[in-house]
Amino acid sequence: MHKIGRFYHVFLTYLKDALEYRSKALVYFMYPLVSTTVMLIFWYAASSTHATGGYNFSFFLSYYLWMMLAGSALMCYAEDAIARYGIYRGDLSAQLLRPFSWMTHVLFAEVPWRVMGGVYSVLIMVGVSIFLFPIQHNTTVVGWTLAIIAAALGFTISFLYKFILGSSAFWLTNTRGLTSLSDIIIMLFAGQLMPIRLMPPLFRSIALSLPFSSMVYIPVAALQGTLGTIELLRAIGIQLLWLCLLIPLQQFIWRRGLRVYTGVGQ
Amino acid sequence: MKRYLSLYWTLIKLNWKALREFPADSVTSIFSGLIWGVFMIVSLQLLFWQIPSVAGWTREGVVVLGAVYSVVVGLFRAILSRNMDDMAKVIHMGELDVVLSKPIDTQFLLSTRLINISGLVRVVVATIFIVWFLPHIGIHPTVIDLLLFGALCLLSLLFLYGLYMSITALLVWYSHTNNLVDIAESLLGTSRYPQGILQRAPFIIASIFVPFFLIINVPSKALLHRMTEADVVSLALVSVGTFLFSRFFWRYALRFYTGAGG
Repeated sequence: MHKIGRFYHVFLTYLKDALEYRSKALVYFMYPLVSTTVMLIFWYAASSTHATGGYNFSFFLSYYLWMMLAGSALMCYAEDAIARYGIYRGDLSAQLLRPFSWMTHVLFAEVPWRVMGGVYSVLIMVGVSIFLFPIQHNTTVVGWTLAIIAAALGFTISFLYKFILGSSAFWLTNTRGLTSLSDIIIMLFAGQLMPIRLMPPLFRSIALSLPFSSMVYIPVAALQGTLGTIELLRAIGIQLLWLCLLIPLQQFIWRRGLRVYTGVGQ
Repeated sequence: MKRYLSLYWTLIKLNWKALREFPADSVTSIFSGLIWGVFMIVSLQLLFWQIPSVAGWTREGVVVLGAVYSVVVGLFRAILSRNMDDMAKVIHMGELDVVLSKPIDTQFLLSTRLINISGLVRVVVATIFIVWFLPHIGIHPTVIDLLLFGALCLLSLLFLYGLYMSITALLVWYSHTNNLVDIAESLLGTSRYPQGILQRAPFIIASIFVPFFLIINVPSKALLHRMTEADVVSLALVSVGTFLFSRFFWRYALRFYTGAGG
């Protein structure tokens, strides 16, 4: 109980810090908002003149709005803070002495920003739904429950992956190339560019066999209601499988990284 | 003018030395740039997998769009982008005092002191790709076409410079929101799409995106022999106008700068 209270107060501290910079969070939210807007304009133009894989504009509108929410609320961006401030700048040295793990610190620092991004996304979605077009969504209690589970798992997978990515700074003097490559792969294979089901068969197979689709695409499909219960359970199974792979991998990389870490002048 | 050109040449030499000091950094930068260049083209091809054309642009045409994007944005990343990121830090940390005390135009010094020479590799590769690809779609550019393309790319660069400079000037008042430049980054990422898609968009939204679409679409149309006079005039007006505004706005912002303990 005492431990939960301690974590609660630590989390509150990071939440207050994030709320202090809510305009900064709004600027970060511009990225998914702008890309969503352009993709909707593109598909509106495309669907007006051609058949678009059997889907109408209403599908694309719902897909990209849910993807905007997932990208803001579920996709973590902690790798830069881990690499630049934790490892390169040496903030990790002080954190290692604290009575809670560095991973907990990073998680608590990340969650408030995801919450704020999620709030901005929900506001946009409510506005669109009321004033413009209805948004497709899951309609059953079971569907919503499974969608929330898929979203929670998606966030966890995203966090673990980005933590591993940031930890590469233990061995690399510059992680920019690696994070750039990761960003591109995620954009392609997490369904952020376009729905995975509309991709060429080869890309589709690659996307569904990598963990990136588990981060945002599966939660989006679940929230949009395009997956049946059995399909959803199978997708959650795949997410759990990725968790079982990523957790020990993160532990292994973390322990190895600490052995080579040297914090100078902290 | 001669003084500034001489100073810029010195800055190039200094950045070249820095590049040689950190070769791994340069390799990373080249690798990252090339990967992004390839991604631009691949992403457009994926979008066009299900549809033969959008707003008059075919799959082949958007390959040219993607490559021109790499040229323009590559140039921007190489010559100006790092300076814009650095300016946010300089203003926020109060280091602008030191720059202001130098006997040189502040805007010039802040905009040009960092040059990512390795980023030019992406520009060169994209240009070679364009010259190789165009004959494959039945277009044979002349020297005049390529010179016109180069001039339009420079106009596009002028617009980007004016835009980023204007946003950076806002940091004098809102220094804690040092990610304001990210708004321009997010808009820049949308410029690789065909301009014609904006015809069906609401006016307010379209008017925000139009300048960004112009800077890539107009040079691309020049290569594809589809450019009109209206395109050139629009790009020129937007670019020169934005640049002149940025100059005025930066000088205006400096009146409000207060560097404490710099």
